[in-house]
Amino acid sequence: MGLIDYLRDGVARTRASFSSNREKWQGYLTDHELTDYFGKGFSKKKDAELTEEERTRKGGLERITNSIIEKYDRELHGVLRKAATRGTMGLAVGNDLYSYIKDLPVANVTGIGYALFATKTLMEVPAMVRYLSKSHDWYGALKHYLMKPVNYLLPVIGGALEAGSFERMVRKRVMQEIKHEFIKQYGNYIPVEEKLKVAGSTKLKSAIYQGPGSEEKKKAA
Amino acid sequence: MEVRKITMHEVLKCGMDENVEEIAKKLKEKKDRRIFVIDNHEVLKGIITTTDIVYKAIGKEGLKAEDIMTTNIKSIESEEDLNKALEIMEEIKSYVCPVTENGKLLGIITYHDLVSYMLNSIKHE
Repeated sequence: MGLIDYLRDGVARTRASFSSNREKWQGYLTDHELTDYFGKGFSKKKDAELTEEERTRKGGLERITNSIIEKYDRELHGVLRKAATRGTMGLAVGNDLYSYIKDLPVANVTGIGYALFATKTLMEVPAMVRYLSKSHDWYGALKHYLMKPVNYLLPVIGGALEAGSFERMVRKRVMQEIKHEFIKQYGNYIPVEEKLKVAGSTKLKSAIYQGPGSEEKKKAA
Repeated sequence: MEVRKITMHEVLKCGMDENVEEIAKKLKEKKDRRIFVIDNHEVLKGIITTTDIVYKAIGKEGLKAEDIMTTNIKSIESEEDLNKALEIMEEIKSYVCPVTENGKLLGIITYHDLVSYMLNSIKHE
C-alpha cells in the first residue's frame, strides 16, 4: 500500500468516526478495510446490483455491526454524559469566541477554559472505565488523553473537536471490532504457522536461483 | 510481485588428492574459510575449514585434502523441501547448508535467504 492510499484510508476512517451513522461505518469498512471481500466502491452499489454472495456478506456485516454496537451502546449513546460533555465544550467554544471578540473570557474568568476541560474529563471517567473494561483499548484511551492538551491549546476548534472525542474513539474501536469479527466469520483465516509449513514444503529446486552471475544479480537487486 | 528466489552461492571446491598447501592458498586468495572436497564425479566427500588446516596440517608436510577433511557432511538434495534444509541447519548448528543434485555439489544456501524466501512467499500469497 502506497503512502497516498494509506493517507486516503486514514482520512476516510476519521471521516467515518465523525459520523454516528452506522451505514457510513459499514461504507468505510467495505470500501477501505474489507476490499478483499467486497471490492472497491461496494458502498455505492445498489441492492439490486448485488450478487447472492455479496448480499450474504453484506447481511453478515450488518448483523456483526448491530451486535458490536449493542456491546458499546452505553458508551456511544450515554445521554447524560453526552449532554454534559457537549454542554461544557459548547461553553468552552463560546468562551473562546467571546475572548476573541471582547478580548476577555466570559465573565472575566481566565481559568474557565481549564475548568470546562477538567469538568468534561471528569464526566467521562465512568464511561472510560466501562469502555476499557470491555475493549482493553489502552492505545485508543492513551491517544484520547494525549489529544486533550492539544485540543485545549487550540482556540475554538479545540473545544469543538474535544466535544465528541470520546465517541469518536469508541466508534473507531467499533469499526475495528466489526472488521475483525467479519474476517473471523467470513475470511479465510490461516495461522502463520500453517502458512510457513506450506511455504516450507516447496521443493528447493523450484525456490533457488541457479545460474551464471547469480551473485552479481543478487547484489544488483 | 514475484518472490525473489534463494541464491545458490558458489563455493570453493578441491579434489581429494589436492595438496593442503594449495588449498590454503586458494582459501587465502578467495578470502574464504571453507572449501568443499569432491571426487572425480563432483560428488561431495568432505569439507576443510581454516580451523582444520590450523589444527591438523601445521608442521606436517605432504598432506592431502582427504587426510584432513571432515567427512559425513550433511547436505540437502535439490529435490527435497525447504523444511528439510532448515532441519539440517538446525541439526548441524550452521547458517549454511550445501546443496547437491544426485550427490553432486551445486553450492550452498544460507539460512537468511531461506527464511526470507519463506516469509516473502506467505506475504505474497
